[in-house]
Amino acid sequence: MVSPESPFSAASRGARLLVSKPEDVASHETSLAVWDLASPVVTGRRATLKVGAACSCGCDLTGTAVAIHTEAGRPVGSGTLGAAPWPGTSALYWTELDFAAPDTEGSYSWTLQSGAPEPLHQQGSSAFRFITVNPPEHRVTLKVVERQTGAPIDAVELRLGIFRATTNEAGVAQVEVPGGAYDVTAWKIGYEILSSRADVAGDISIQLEVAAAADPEQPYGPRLCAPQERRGVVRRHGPSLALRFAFR
Amino acid sequence: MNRRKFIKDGALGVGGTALAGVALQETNLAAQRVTKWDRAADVVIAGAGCSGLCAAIMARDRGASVLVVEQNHDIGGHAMVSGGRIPLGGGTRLQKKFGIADSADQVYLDHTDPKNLELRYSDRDLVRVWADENAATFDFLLDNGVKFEEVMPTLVNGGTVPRLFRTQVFSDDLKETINGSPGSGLVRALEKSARAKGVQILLRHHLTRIVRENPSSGRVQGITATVDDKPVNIQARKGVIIATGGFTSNVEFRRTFDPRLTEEYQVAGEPWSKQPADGELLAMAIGAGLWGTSNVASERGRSVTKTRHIGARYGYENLRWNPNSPMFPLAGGSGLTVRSFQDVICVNQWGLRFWNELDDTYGFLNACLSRHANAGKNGKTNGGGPIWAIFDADAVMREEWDPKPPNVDPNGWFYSADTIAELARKVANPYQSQPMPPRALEDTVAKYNASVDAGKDPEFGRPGLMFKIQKPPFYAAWSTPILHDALAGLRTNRRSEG
Repeated sequence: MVSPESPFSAASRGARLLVSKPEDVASHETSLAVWDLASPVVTGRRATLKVGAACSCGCDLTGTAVAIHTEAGRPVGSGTLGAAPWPGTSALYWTELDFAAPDTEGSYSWTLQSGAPEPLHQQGSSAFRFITVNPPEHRVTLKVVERQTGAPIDAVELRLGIFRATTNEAGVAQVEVPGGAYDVTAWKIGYEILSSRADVAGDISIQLEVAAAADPEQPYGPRLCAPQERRGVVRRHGPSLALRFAFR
Repeated sequence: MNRRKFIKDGALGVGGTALAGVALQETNLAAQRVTKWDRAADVVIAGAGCSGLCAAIMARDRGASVLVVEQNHDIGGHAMVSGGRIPLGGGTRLQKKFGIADSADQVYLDHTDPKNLELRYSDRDLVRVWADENAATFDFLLDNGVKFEEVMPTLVNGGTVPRLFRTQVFSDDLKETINGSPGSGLVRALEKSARAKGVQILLRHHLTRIVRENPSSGRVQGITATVDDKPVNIQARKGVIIATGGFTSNVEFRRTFDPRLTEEYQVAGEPWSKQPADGELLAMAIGAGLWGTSNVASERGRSVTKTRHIGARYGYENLRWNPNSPMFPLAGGSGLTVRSFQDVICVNQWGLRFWNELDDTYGFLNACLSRHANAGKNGKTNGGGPIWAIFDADAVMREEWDPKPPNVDPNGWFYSADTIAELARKVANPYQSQPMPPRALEDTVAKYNASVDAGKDPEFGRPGLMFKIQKPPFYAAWSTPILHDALAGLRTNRRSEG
């Protein structure tokens, strides 16, 4: 625990204290954020993530050590926090770490820990979870177009099962996956959610036709009508197969 | 608008409720008897919203002197900030202009259809009178200067004939329109007509009593209103009309119908005007009854609604407060308009998810109003407490939000932080009964993110999981359901008499 008599000497050894009133000492809690870890992670390959740490009193945590530990407590990656807070935050000091993914498929819950270089700040820790998959075998090319006009739509979020991709300006996205049957979901603000199912046994192309959502403005008054069900078509090019689906 | 069924039926029959004397047990409390009248008119109306103004004009048209009292500092009531949607048909002049055939009978059939999940509960006596007066009432609005958007009307209330016209925004001056809503075109036009015809309107007069010959018996003689805490006795030589709107702002009154609707639920139309049930309570005190109350808890209309503009206190879906509105200092924030709940999770005050956030039905709303890990043993048991939408920097980009005032209200209704744990520590609000546990919120977000990775939400079945909540900074925005206004009122006969 922190010694209330020595907050300033503690600060001088490590973190530069911005808020230095003695009564604040007890509330110097370190918490972590973890982001930009691609999902899923391919077994045996290296993966990267960003980790940031913030002190509840806004202290400068530059140089603080951070490390990744497996469920068994084995350290698998480490680094130190940089000097500039993450854009948009007030005092989240961060760095990028990389680590070797496990060799077997599964879901994992590992831990990130920040060091406690001096007594003022205790260790911060945060669990992060991820899924590993075997290396992909096939390339799926997805193209998303507007149902009425055929115009390509960019920035559509796509999912094939647990794999994900985002369309480019040509409305195209590519994702590499192992063979199998996948739920395909396309989503973008202003458009109806589209979902269907596709079998992937080789490199294939899928065209998705989406429709703009109804005007989101709701009337001032009773909402008595159920939303209308809309129907659309997923066309899969290559082996000819059209998938019918209903979406709202 | 549903409750404010305009009925043109005799000098006292427009809107509201005419009270012509209710026989009750005499109690001779001479001290309470009003002996001196400060003002007098033939007809005294409580409330200068759309019902009260229509009643005033109609009474004046029939030759009565009319005095209207209004508790707010301006006329209009909730109609002022409404969408100005007027679902009147039966063959109005504007329907004819668009070649639409309609009849009073069809209006009646549509509004009593047993398949209509909400309106089938309506009192058919009243719907019949209302249907018969639909066209005349709409034309009355036209004759009194109300201007409508002249576009093809749309279907409304589950009906079979296009009837819904919308009033035009009165002007581009927010001092006149308050928030630039179409409803301003309804009440400002009526106000103008009423004043031109000689109706007197007393603002900041708060109805406090309906005066009878004896304190609890005899004919209604007038009202007592207070202005600056001083009583003003106003004699009504022919009748009193109660047109005070609904009761949703009165927490205990609304809880009569649904005990879960405790104080944390804000009300559409506030903070412009409140609907504190004063008309209902004062009329009930002299023997009136309530009527048509099924709407409040039938889960068919919009008695409880999902907040659409989050991060501000008053996020009712069709009322987004304009930063230039004269009411904005009280509204506090406009709110971040949610285009898709894909971008957020909703948690209760314990930092726990509780339902599929994409659900727009009463399933979601009932979950918001649920127990939230409170087994009924400690503290507050009714009401679900605050609901917070939690999201990250990526969601802000996708939604194109600018999470700063005046879009959000950081004074208790919106928070941002560098980590999820810090966010939980910051959340504080008059209705948040204990700190949000940081670990709980961290666990909730971690669990949700794992569900996104796996593409499945085993706890709550949210479909199409798209985005993790991971990129700093993080945000918590007030997203507690908000209540609709004016859902039921006083019992009347076919002449709108109590």
